[in-house]
Formats: sequence, C-alpha cells, structure tokens
Amino acid sequence: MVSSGLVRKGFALFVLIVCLAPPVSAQINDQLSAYTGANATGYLQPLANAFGADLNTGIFRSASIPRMHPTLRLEIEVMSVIFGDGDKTFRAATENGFTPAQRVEAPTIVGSEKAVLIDGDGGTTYAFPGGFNLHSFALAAPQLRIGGIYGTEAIIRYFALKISGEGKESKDLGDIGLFGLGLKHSISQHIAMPVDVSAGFFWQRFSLGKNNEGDHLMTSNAFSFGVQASKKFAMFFVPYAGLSYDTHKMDLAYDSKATGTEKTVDVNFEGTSTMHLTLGLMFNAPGMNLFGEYNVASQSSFSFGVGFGF
Amino acid sequence: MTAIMKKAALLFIAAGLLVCLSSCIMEDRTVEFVVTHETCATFDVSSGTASFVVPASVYLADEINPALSDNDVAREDIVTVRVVSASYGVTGFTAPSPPHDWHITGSVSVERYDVDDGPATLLNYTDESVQDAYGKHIPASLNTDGVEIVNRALDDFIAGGNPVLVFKLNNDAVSPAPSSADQIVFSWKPCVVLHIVTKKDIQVPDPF
Repeated sequence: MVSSGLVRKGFALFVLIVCLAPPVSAQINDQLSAYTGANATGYLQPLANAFGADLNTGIFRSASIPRMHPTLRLEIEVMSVIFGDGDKTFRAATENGFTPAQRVEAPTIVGSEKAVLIDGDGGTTYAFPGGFNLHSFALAAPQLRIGGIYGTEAIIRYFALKISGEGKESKDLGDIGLFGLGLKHSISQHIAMPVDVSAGFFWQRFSLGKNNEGDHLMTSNAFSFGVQASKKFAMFFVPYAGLSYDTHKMDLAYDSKATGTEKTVDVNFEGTSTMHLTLGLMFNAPGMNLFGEYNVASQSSFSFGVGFGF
Repeated sequence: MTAIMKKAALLFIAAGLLVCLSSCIMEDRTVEFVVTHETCATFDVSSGTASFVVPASVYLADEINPALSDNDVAREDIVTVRVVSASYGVTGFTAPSPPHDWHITGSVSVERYDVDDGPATLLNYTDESVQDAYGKHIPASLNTDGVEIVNRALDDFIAGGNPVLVFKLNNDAVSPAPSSADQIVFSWKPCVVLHIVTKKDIQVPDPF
C-alpha cells in the first residue's frame, strides 16, 4: 500500500534524523570551511529555503474544532521539498587573494558532488567544494494536538537530543532541537458557514550542531499565520485547504579556515516571507488518521503523516 | 527461555526492519570537499650586507598531514592539492639604533631537496619596507615556474612520496645599506595558501 509505505518512510526518516545528525552536522561544517560569508550564503541558500518550507508545512489540517470536547492526538509527519535544477548551482566568487578574481557557477550544498577547479595567474588553481547531490530535503517531527476547548486547538512540535560523532567527530557536536507552538481557533462556530473554517498561527525554532565557540551551527525560526477550510465527506474523508503568510529566518555560525586561520564565520540569511496555499486530504478514522498535502509557495513542498488519539 | 528467544527474535526482526527502512532513505555519496591550508616558512635574517641568502626547508608531509587529520581524511582521499595564492609579512623586527626603516628587494626561490627540481623564483619583492610589512599579510604575485615546482611536489606527496621543499630568501638590495655596525635584523614569513581537494564517502538522507 502506498500509504503504509509513506508511513514507514516517515518513521524511518524520524529515526534516521536522530542517527544522522552528527555526521551531517559535521559534514556541513567541513563543506563550509573553505568559504567565508558571501559564498556560504549562496552555497547554503537552497537548504535555508528548504528548511523554511519544511517547517511551515503540515501544521494546519482539518478546520473542524469541537467547541467543548477535549481531544488529544500525537502525530508524526514528514515535510519535504524537491529541488529543481536552479537550486543546484550558485554564482561563487574566488577568495583567499586568488588572482584574477573570478565568478563561476559552483555547486550549492544540494548540487553536484564534484569540486569545481579554475585556473589563475602564475599556475595557481582555486577549488570550490562540491555539494551533497540531494534531490529532496525532508524533516520529520512529532506533533501534539490538544483541542476542543472553547473551539480552540493547541499544536506543539518538540524534540531535542545531544549529538556526538565518531573519530575526530567524537567531540560534543551540540544538539539538535525543534520547538514549535501554535493555536488554531474555529471561526465557523461563531458564524454559520457551508464548510468548517478556522484561523491560527504557529511559531517554530530549529537548532543544529555546535561550533568552536559553543554556539549553534544553525538556527532557524519560522512563523506562519492563516486561515483554513475543510469539510468531511463519506464518513472518513476530509479534504482541506489553507491560505497562510509564512516567514522564515536562518542563521549560521560555522568554523572556517578560508582565510588561513580558523575563525567562526556568522552568516545571517535574509529573512524570507511568502504566501502559502495548502491543498490536502485527510483520512480520519476513530483513533487514527492519515493525511497528505501539497503546498504551493515560493518553495513548494509536500507533507504526509499519521496521527493517533481521540 | 522461550520468552527470551521470542524477545531476541523480535529484536532481530526490528533491527532488520530498521536496516530495510534505512536503505530507502539513505543514499551513498562521494563528496569532494576543500580544505584550505596555509604553509609558511620563516626566514630569520641577521646581516651586515645587502646581499644575503637565507634557506628554510618545508617537509610537505609534516605540513599537510595535520590538516588531513583535522578533517578526518587520509592521503589516499586526496583528489588534488594546488597553490591558490601567496603572501608575506615581517613577524619580528629589531629596530636599529638610531631607529630607521629598511627597504629590501629580492626574491623567494623554491627547489626540491629530495629530487632534482628547480630552483625557480616563486615570488619577487621590490623596495619593500620592513617596518610597514610588520604584522601584515601582503599579497604576492606568484611566478609560474616556482608554482609548478610546488605543484609537482604536491603531486608526489599525493602519490605517497615525502617531498621536501627548500625555499630561499635571495635578497639583492637593502636601503640604506647595512653594515657590521648597523645590521639588518628581522624575521620574514612568506606563506602559500593551498586548496586540498579530498573526497569523502558519506551517507545523506535523500528520501524522495
């Protein structure tokens, strides 16, 4: 079954994010070590965009919230973007006093694994690092919904753990953590409408890794607010749609030797904001639901998951 | 005993399931990343004449191996190592009495100690103020012949050799001219920036 395959993938992804945080965190730092701020921004921009899209996905679903009937549901969901060709390269500039200064198409973090070499004056050569050759970037998160109190529902996303690596990465690599909190309120309980309608907001903060100064390698903040509509059909099926306004900000503080001596480089990605249309379908059986949705925004994404509870 | 067997079987199945699930999400990648490394040679100069030669030896293995170790890669993982740029500066300066500056002109040459290769000029400096160069990283224009000697040595290192480079500070002129009573005393440090391109096998989550 397709749905059981997706659920298995979601569960596996969640397990693997926990297992993979150390090497991926360390490798991102390694890949960035050749870059200072300007190139690092271009190199990581697709990942920053994907983070924002993933975080602001899979939050709101059914707009039906009982006025006074407490509910509790634990969900595991997977949010993902698929990268396009435009995400694979960026216009990189030479550094380190390399002459003549040049700009070339170099791989982003999701681009080709191969480094790009260019020739300069006096037999010199400059190398741009390769990427991870990623087709998609997915996050998985546990999510708790507590609803049915005065037509209002609270949504909480949370996980946190310490990470450490092997070999030279055996040092403390910091932690990986996600915390999100939001509220959704039923509008249609106040105004009679042909479909259920609600409005809500959700704020999240994601952090990953640790640099030599003890700060997080990456921090990411996302915020979304909007309205949702849904209607139940044939007992179990709930198609839903939502329109929201999303913002996302990501900061990096990584260790670089690009200038010959090691120092921490801070990269503050420009905040992004986008309108976001969600179209999805939920299968809502007693005690369990499954859902899948597609999100149209500046970086489109999709999400699916499973929830248990009453 | 039966309960233990059942638990062991369940654990075995769970472990197997996890491996199966992992295979649909994890993808193998051989990623080329770049380590930036700066190799320097220090020339301690103390001369009563304007023309002097000061040598400094660099064992490439001693220079590059720590950088590889820091990044958890081995020599076999190196794809290529190349010279990116060079700079120089004065790291120590004993002011003469009465105090005055020195202006120096000359070149830095490079040759192999372990095999017959070179010498060739790596960089030139002209009418360089010792005082102004103190604590600075002054960009240098590199000479192709000298860079090619360094690149050949780097290729030999990748191939498993242990090349030794001898850099020589060949000073031609000093203004004002030093003497035994007014010696030019300073430490000069030219540095070469290298890009070490290495490959690393990693697994990345790429589920879709």
